[in-house]
Amino acid sequence: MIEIQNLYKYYPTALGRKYVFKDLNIKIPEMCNIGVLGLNGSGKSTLINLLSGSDQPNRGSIKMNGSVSWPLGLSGGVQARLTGRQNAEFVCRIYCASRKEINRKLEFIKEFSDIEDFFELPVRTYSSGMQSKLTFAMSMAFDFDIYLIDELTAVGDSQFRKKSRQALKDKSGSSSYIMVSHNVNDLIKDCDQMIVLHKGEVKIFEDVDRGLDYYKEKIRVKK
Amino acid sequence: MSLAKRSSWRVQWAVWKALFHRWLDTKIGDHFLGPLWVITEPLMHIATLTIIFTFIRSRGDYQGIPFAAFFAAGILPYFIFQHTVNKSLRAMRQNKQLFSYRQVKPLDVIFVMAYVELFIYSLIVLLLMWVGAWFFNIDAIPHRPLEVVLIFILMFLFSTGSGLFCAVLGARWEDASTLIIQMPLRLLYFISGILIPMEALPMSLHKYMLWNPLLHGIEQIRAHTFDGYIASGTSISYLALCTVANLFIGLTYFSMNRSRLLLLR
Repeated sequence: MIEIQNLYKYYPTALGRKYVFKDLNIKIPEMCNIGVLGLNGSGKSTLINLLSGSDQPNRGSIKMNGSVSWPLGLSGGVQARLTGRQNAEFVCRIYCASRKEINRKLEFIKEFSDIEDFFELPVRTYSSGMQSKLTFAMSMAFDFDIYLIDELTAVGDSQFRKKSRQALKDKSGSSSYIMVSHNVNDLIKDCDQMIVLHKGEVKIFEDVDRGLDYYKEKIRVKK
Repeated sequence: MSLAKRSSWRVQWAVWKALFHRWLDTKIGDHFLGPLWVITEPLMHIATLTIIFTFIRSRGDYQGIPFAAFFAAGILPYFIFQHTVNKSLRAMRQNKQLFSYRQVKPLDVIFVMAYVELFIYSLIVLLLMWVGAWFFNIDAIPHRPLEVVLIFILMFLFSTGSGLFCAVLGARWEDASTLIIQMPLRLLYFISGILIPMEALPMSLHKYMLWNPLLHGIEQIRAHTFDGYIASGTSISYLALCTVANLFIGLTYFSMNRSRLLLLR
């Protein structure tokens, strides 16, 4: 169970504080795949970053037990100047205890990412699809309790998307994910519950279809 | 099977180690020119200064210390400071992708960055000592090595403090920081006792120059390396005092701006 209590998050801008969340209170159940829907700028990525711990709330708290992944997004997490291997090694060094374990994980990442000898080349030479493959493979090397996916799986080719969906399914006994995607069909297919963000309001639906209806209604009202 | 729980210190240690290797990777790069430049840069400074000063002074030593050894003892510790400060100005922006990993905090980045400089220049010091003593018969092995090690560590901590301060400046005012920090940094090269020993300067200048803690560090390194070198007016304790003050200011300023540093997306 992830419990968000009285959370405030704003970003200071030239036009003053821009609040993303004001007094946010939600409970996100455990062992349950969750889709996140919302328009651009509604705070999806902010929510993911806050959950991952890479960003801090201005006020309030996030309580959870278990481990979370870093935000698996298109940008961030890898440095373009370093090779795929060097980037992967950095992450392994953070999460692993022994050299033997690191080598095993590196082997796995190279195998899973499917980018072959590009693994030994700087990430700046990758296409965006290859970069997302690397990021995803890096996260799959570790057994997180919750994976935070920020529009990552949407990029790869269909073959890799199939593979990544299967990998997540294989882990479904021990871990779950929270996924941001603009592809509504994916969310309906893969998720058990739905979080909808709209103008600072955050609602969680135990039924995916009801969440979707609510989301559509909100957008329609806006028009 | 979920991730094994580790103690906070184990995680912290793992992060420092990972960052250390990563910094070495970026500093050395994927080309043989990387490590070559790390060594040639100080060597070029030493060689240029030695040639110039041999001409100006028409002699080859200060207080019996050959110019090359004299300049090496000044430039190498100074580089720890200069490189740390220079890099920390851009560090937050260049490494923002690291903060995706919740274990990695901005403080770790600066701390390890300074440590890498200490590590690299210590290696070069050892290398040059060996080369100097073995091939050129220069008396380059410190006669009081423990004090020299202590001063290097103090220089590293002093640089860390300055680095923390500059990291915030660089993150908040990207362009201005270059003007505010990098220009004076050039000047610091000339007033930190790298070029001329305090002994050779007029007494009237001493009271102004002795405010500079880097000068204390550099002169004290020479005093503890070369037997009989006179480092008038300088002391390790002044450097230590400034290091504590510097760390205090750096950490305070850094922690005041903590949330801002994470915002550079």
